[in-house]
Amino acid sequence: MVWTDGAAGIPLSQELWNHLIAQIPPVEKLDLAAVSGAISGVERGTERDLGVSLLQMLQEKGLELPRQQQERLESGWAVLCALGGLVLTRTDRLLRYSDLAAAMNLEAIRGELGAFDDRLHQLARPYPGQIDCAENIRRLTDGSDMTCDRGRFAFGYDKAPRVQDAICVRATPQTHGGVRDVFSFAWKQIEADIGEGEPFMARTELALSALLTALADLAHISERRAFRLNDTHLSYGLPMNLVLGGVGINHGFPVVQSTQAALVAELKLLTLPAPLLRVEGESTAYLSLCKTLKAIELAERVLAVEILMAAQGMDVVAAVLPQFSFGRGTQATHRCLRRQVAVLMENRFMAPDMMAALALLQEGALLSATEDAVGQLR
Amino acid sequence: MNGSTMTQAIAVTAFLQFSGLLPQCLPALPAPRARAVQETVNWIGQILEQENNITCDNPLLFEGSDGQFEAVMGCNYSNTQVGYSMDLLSTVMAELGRGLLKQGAPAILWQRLATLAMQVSGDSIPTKGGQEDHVEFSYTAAEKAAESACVLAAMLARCSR
Repeated sequence: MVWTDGAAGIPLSQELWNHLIAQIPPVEKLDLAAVSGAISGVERGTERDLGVSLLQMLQEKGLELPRQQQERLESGWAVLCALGGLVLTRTDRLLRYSDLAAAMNLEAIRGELGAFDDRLHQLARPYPGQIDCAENIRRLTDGSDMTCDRGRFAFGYDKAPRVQDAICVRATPQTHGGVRDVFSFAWKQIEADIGEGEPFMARTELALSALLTALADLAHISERRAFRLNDTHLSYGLPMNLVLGGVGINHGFPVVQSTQAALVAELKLLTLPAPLLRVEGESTAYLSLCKTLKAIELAERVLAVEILMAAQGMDVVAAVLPQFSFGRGTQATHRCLRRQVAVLMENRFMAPDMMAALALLQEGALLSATEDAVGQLR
Repeated sequence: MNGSTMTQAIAVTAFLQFSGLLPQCLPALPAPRARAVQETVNWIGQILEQENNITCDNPLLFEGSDGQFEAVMGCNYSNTQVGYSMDLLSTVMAELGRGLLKQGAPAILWQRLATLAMQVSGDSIPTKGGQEDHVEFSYTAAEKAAESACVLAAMLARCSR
């Protein structure tokens, strides 16, 4: 099921359903399977239409709600709160995955970790998000023999100290951190609107305008980092298109990487700010929340491709340096991914690989496997 | 003075000019929107204040206990947060401009504000042979916010009510 009037097409996932029923305490036990199909009439609904059809569905199932909760559904407010909660949960997860993708990429290109030195962030540019991102990367790559001169020289491409990597790599703390700082602000504003029951969600509208821009930037920098993995020169010696084995019938990752460019373009279409869209006297809260969820989904897909490609790059490096180890975090992520997605040695249909990587990301499997190894990321 | 210092100078100037206009614009908005704008502006101000107290040199030198200096390379000049907040400032001015339309300000000026509120800091174009391949366009965002402030001032001057 898809809500098209959100202009974004948000499927009624289990995760959204959980946020919805959390808004209606008596039905917390109702599962998605029991109601799927029952609310198909809201495909073209507003938040009010959706709330009303949810209410009707619950009444048909014999559930009587207190008057106040009926009103929260009829006004659409319960739906807005659920969407707000889902935006916060998914962005929070997305930010940690973005650090994870960058850390795996660093292993593949045997990146320079100086840019993640705590002093640059704690002392020089002490933005909270930037400090957190740099710490995550250091923890994920902790124990890596690849991301240092020893690994770089042993691999054989680098003949002199690296000095510094390209900006999409070394600006990871600033960019991911900037997104984190916007997200912290958005979190505060969304919670304030929900807490006060502010029907227009005026704070949320403005904060999500900024968050959408930041998410576009996050997807952009991930696309650039993955782009480099396909080029021998830009990746410091990985084979062209990450081809392992014979070239003939193995095309590697160029088509997979190009999907990121399309996804980023699609994401940027969503960044038109709320005040430019508003019909006088109306709120754009529902549209803004749906747009943000769509943007999160697109950014997740971009990150899933970076993770998939970085894992292939790690396999190349491991084949050259079997006695060297990756960081504890990146190693755990790689192992988790490889249980579902095999290394690419010859051409195969890649969409299932991309969907498998996305599913591992969205279900939280990659993150929990990683956090089991290095503790909870910030 | 490197690029990010220049951007910060433009951003702060734009913000100061805007701050002088804000009290005259706020009464034209409904109370919840005025409050949302004020809180958002406070956050933008905090970002600029933070950026006033950082260093953007690359590399940075750190003195060791042996009196020697260690050079650490990074991306200290990348003022991403300023870019995001300047784009947001342009968005805020489009919001305030909507209010001024009802006070008789010309629509063409709001249309210019809306154009300037298109987001630039979420964009990026690779430069320098792929070495500087993610650029944050904070400079453009700051220039744009400065121009928005000029347009907003023109709108205020032409309000008939």
